[in-house]
Amino acid sequence: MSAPAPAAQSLASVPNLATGDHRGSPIPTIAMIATRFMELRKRRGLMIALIVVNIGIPTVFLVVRLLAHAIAPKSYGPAGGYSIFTTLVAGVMYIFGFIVAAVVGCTAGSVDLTEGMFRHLVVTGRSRLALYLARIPAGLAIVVAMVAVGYTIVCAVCVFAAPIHLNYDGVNVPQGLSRPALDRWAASHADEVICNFNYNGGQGLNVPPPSVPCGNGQTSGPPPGAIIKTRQGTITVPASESPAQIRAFAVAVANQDYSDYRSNFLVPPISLMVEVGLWIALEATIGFIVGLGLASLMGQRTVPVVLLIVLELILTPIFSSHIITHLVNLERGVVGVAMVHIEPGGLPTPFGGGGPGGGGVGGLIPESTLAASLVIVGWLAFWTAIGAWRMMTRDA
Amino acid sequence: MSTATVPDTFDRQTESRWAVETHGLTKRFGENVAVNNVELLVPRGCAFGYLGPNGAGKTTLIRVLLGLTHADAGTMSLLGHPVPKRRDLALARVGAIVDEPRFHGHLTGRQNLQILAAAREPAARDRIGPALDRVGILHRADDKVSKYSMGMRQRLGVAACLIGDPQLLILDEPMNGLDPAGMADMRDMIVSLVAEGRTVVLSSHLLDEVERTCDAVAIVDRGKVVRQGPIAELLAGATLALQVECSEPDRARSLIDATRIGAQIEVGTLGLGISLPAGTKRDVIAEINRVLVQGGISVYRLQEIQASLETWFLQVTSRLGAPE
Repeated sequence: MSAPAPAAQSLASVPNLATGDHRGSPIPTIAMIATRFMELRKRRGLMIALIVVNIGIPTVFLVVRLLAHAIAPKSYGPAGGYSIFTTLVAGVMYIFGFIVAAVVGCTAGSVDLTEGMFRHLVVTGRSRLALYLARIPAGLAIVVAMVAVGYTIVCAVCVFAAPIHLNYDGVNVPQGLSRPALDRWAASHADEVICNFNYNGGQGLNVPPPSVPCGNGQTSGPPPGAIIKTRQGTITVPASESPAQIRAFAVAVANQDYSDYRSNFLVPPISLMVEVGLWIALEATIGFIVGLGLASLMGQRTVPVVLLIVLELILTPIFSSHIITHLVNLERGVVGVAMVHIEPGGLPTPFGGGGPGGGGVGGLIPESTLAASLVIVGWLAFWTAIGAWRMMTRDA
Repeated sequence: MSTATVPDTFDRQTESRWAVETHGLTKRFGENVAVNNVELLVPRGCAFGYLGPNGAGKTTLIRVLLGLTHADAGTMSLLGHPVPKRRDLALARVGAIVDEPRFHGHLTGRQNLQILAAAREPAARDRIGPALDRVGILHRADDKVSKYSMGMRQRLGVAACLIGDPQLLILDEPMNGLDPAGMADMRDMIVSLVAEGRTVVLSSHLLDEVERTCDAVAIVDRGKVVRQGPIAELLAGATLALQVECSEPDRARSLIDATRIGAQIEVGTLGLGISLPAGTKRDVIAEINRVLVQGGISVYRLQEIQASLETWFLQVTSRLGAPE
């Protein structure tokens, strides 16, 4: 310690709390949020993990695909496109985004305590609630920004490196056709449609497919004269069908497959990308808020992180797709289940319970959108309240 | 805990002559009473030592005062503001180190102070540089705290106190981890802080440091404040010790015992160690010398041992700690 400063330094009076120093206010100051942001941002290991998972994994995946396609385009498809977009979003960014956000939340909620700074902060006289609330915008600024960067890269590659031709069920189909346009295209490519498109029978198609040449000496459908059984009775396959009948059948098949075709647009629509972006940001926000509250409650980081990983990777998939009769309302109350219910249409559900084009809720336990929204809001409010309460009552 | 009796008006509160005032303050941990009905008055503008053996409840009392944990009973105020009712006002001009000062190791010293300054008034940010300079770690301010020694973290803790421009500093074992030069610096700093009109409450085991630094002390034992007041007044109540070098120590002891002065005498290799009751007049010393000389004992040296805070502390705490 150097020589004492001159004694002339005057003592300040206690600051007037009504004119700027809102020491007892529960609202954090900009400076508190900014320094909290700095404290989290300076955690090198945490930031590296965050970047690797949210940006690195999707980027490396896309770069490898770009290179592979550039080197061997016949063996490796384009790097972008709709299917890649849905795979990355639902398979990587959604789940790992939650986990990383939870880790950041658990860190923000516990490090002051474990590293001894909580005591210093309490001694400033600042409202403990303000100290807690300052962590929320600071942490979200990191988590959401990181998710946004990763998501932007995914969207950019999926748009700009999308395949030029859509190969659908082995047939090169023009992209982005409306239902009437696909019908017209199917009518003009009837043989290709009948030979290659999925044929599921059912409404409007209670007859066997007409016999048309499919190459390599093969034909579609049963041979002429064959007798087959349908729900409506026994049908004898005619010796030959008119071109009009063949076209009509092809149009019916195309109609049947339209929703499947639509989900395979080359470029994900802008509206879908916006919706998915907001959905992923909400998921990351939930991960952060729950992690923050749980870590504040428990006063440590490791156990809350493990609990949230278990919730995301084990409990949520189970509760999403397995109805336990007596606990169905409890299952509906799991935030991951609620998030799947508000998933933007056109995405496969993260846990394989849904499917493209159906809003991702096929096979899930039933839950209304309103109920799912209330569950999400409830989780955010509950964990914020529980974390703040513990912060305000904890011995420092 | 009732705090309603303490006036809530700013001007009246700041007129309080006590920097710290507690009445009946009690804190329990289950069956253990860590702070037991403490009545403590710390005058403004002085260095005040807070002493006690390990486990006496020193740190717990500090934690209660600072609102780090709640009290079970009693009232308290800091700088005239009742705690916890007006905790924000009370702590606005308080700086404190409690236990070992710990910080975010991945941040620099300056960044740690920025976090703490953000929780105080805007002007606190401008005090970071001067505070670091004052505690002598400005040249290491941009190093990570994980690379700091214990002594440097201790200095950073003091700097964290200073950025609040405190009227009251509560320092719990601030000498821990400091080398002798650092301890001297810390002592000088405490003196200079008091010279500026600030109040410093110093909790320490280093009684010599406290005696050299503080104007007044309180002794806490088993959660209770058992003595408090100016050091000079308290030492006046200590037993008087004499060291006598003489011939025939055993016979000398018999001679003194026969006078019924009431002294406790121990025979050592160098002579006699004599303890006289507190308040013994200096005439008694002359009387002892006269008895020995008249008894044919050669007195080589007769020295009054100045009562120190340490000896007085040991007298007080050992007496209290003795089985009843």
